[in-house]
Amino acid sequence: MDSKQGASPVTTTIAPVTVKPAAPLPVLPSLQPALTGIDPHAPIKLRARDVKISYGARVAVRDVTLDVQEHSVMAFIGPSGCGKSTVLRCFDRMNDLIPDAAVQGTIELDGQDMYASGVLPVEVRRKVGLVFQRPNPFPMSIYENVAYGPRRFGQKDRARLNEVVERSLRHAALWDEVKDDLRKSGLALSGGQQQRLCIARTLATDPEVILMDEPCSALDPIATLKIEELIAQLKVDYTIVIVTHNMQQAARVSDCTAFFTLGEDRAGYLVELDDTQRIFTNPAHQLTEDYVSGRFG
Amino acid sequence: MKRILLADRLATATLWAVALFVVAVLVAIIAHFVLASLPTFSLAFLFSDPSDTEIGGVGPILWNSIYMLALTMLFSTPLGILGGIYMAEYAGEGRLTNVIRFSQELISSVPSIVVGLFGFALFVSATHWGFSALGGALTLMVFNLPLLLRLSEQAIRAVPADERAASLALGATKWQTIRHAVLPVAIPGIVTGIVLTAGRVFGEAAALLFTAGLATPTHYNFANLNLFDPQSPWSPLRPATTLSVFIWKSNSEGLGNYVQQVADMSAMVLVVMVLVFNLASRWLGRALQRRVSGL
Repeated sequence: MDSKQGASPVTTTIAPVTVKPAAPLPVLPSLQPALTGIDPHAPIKLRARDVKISYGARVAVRDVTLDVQEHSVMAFIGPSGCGKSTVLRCFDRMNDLIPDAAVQGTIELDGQDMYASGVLPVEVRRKVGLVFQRPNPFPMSIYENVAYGPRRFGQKDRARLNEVVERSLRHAALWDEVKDDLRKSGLALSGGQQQRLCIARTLATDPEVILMDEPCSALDPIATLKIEELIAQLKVDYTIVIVTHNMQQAARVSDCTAFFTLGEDRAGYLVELDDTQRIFTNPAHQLTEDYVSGRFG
Repeated sequence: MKRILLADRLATATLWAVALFVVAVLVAIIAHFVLASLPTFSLAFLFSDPSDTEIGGVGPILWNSIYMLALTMLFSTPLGILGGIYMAEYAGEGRLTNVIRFSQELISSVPSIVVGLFGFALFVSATHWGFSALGGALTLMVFNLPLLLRLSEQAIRAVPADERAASLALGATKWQTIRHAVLPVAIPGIVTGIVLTAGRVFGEAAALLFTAGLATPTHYNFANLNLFDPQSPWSPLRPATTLSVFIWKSNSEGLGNYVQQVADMSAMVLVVMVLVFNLASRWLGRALQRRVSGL
C-alpha cells in the first residue's frame, strides 16, 4: 500500500488525458503536454481507466478515464446528475457504503489498484480525504473534531494531539479565529468556518489526496473566497479533486477541468478533460463549448 | 364562504376539545388520588412499615419497587442498546430482520399477565427459585426489552447519515464510527427511552403477581448485606411485592381498617413516581442533548 512508484516521470508524455468517450462521439485528438499549465513530468497520483459505476442494473457513469497529477487541482464540472460526485466518491471508496453500487474498471492511487482484493476501504480513506458539500462537523468541540481522525488511528499522546490540532487548523487557515476557544462546539462556528474546520479535520488524518464535493455550495461569497484561497495553498502539499457547479470557481482554482454530461442512455460520461484554460476558452468538444458558454445545463 | 369559515371553526373547536379531554383525564386521575390521600397522607407513609391495624406505610414495598426497577434496568439496558445498535447498523433487510421485528412487536403486545405466567413457569418453577425479586426482574425484562430495543434503534437511526459518512471518510472503521460518532449523538434519545420504559416497569403489576410474589415484608434491616439471606433487602432471591402489586392486594384482599386509604395513597405515590419518570426523561434527554452538541 505504501509504494510510491507512480508513473515513471520520463515516459509520461501526455499528462491529463481522456480519450474514452461514448461510442458515438468522435475521438478527441491527443493533447500536447505543453497545453496543460502544469508540469507534464509530475507523477500521476490518481489514475482511472474505463471506470463504470452502476447502482443495481442502472449505469450511473461510464467511460471515465483520467489521470490526476500530483500537487494539482482537478475540477469536475457538468450538469446535475451527470455523475461527478459519484466518480469523486469512488476515489476514496465511499461508494462502498451504498449497498448495490458496483465499480468496474480500475482506479489506482500511486499505481496501486485501490479496488484490488485485500485493500481495505479504511486504508484508502486514510490516504484520500473527503470534504462534503454541507459542512458537517461532529457535535463536539473544535479540538475534538480535529483530533477525531488521529485518535481513531491510536494517537493518545496529548502533546502530539495538540500539535496535530494546531498544525491542521493553521493549515486550514482557521487557527487565528479559533485558537482561544478550542473547547467551543464546532457547531457554534459560522458556515464558512465549519467548512474550514472540516478541511482541518481531514488534514489531521494526513491524507495525500483531498476530494471536495461542492465544498462551497452552502457558503456565502466571502467564505467561498476563503476556501478557494485555501485550495490554492493546499495544492502545494496535497493533490485535490473538486466537484463544483460554479464554473468561475473551476476556472479560478483548478489546473485541469473534466467536463461530464449525461448521455442519451441516461448515464453520465466524461466528455473532455483538459487544461482549465483551454476548457473555458477553446474546448475541443461542442458539448463542452455549449456548457461553459451557458447554452446548456 | 360562510360555510367554509364555519367548517374551519368547527374543526378547530373539535380538535381543541379532543386535546383538552386528554389533558382533563390526566388531571382528573392525579386530582382524584391527591384529594383521596390528602386527609391521611404524611411523609412517614413513604418510609414506615405496613401495618394491619393502623395506616402504617409502604417503606419496604417502595424499596422493593425501586430494587426491582434497578435490577430490571441492569439486565435490559445493555441488551436493549446492543440490540438497538444491531438493528440500526448491522441488520440488513431480510428474513431474519423481519422475524426479529415481528417478534419484537408480538412480545410487546402479549398481555403482561401472560408474560407473568410464562415467568412463573420459567423463573419460579423451573429454576426452583420460588417467588423472587430476580425472577420478577427477569420477567419484567422479557416485556421491557422489545420496547427498549426499538427505542434505542430509533434513537440510533435518527442520527444524521452525515455523521457516519464524515467519520468513515476520515478512515474510521465501522465500529469506531458507531462508538465515537453515532452513539454520542444517539445517547440523549437512548436515555429518554430508558427512563420512559423505567416508568412502565415501575408501574407493572400483572407480570409480577406470579413471579415476584405477594409476600409483604414487614421490616427491612438495610445493614443486612447478606445477599443469600431472604430477610435482607439486598437479596435478589426473596419475594418482593412492588407498589402496584401491593395496591392490587390491599384493594382486593386487604383486611385492615384503612385498606382504602392505603390503596389510594399508594396509588398516588405510584402516579407521582410515573409522572416524575416521564418528566425526568424529557429533562434528561434535553440536558444531554445540550451537552452533546456543546451549544
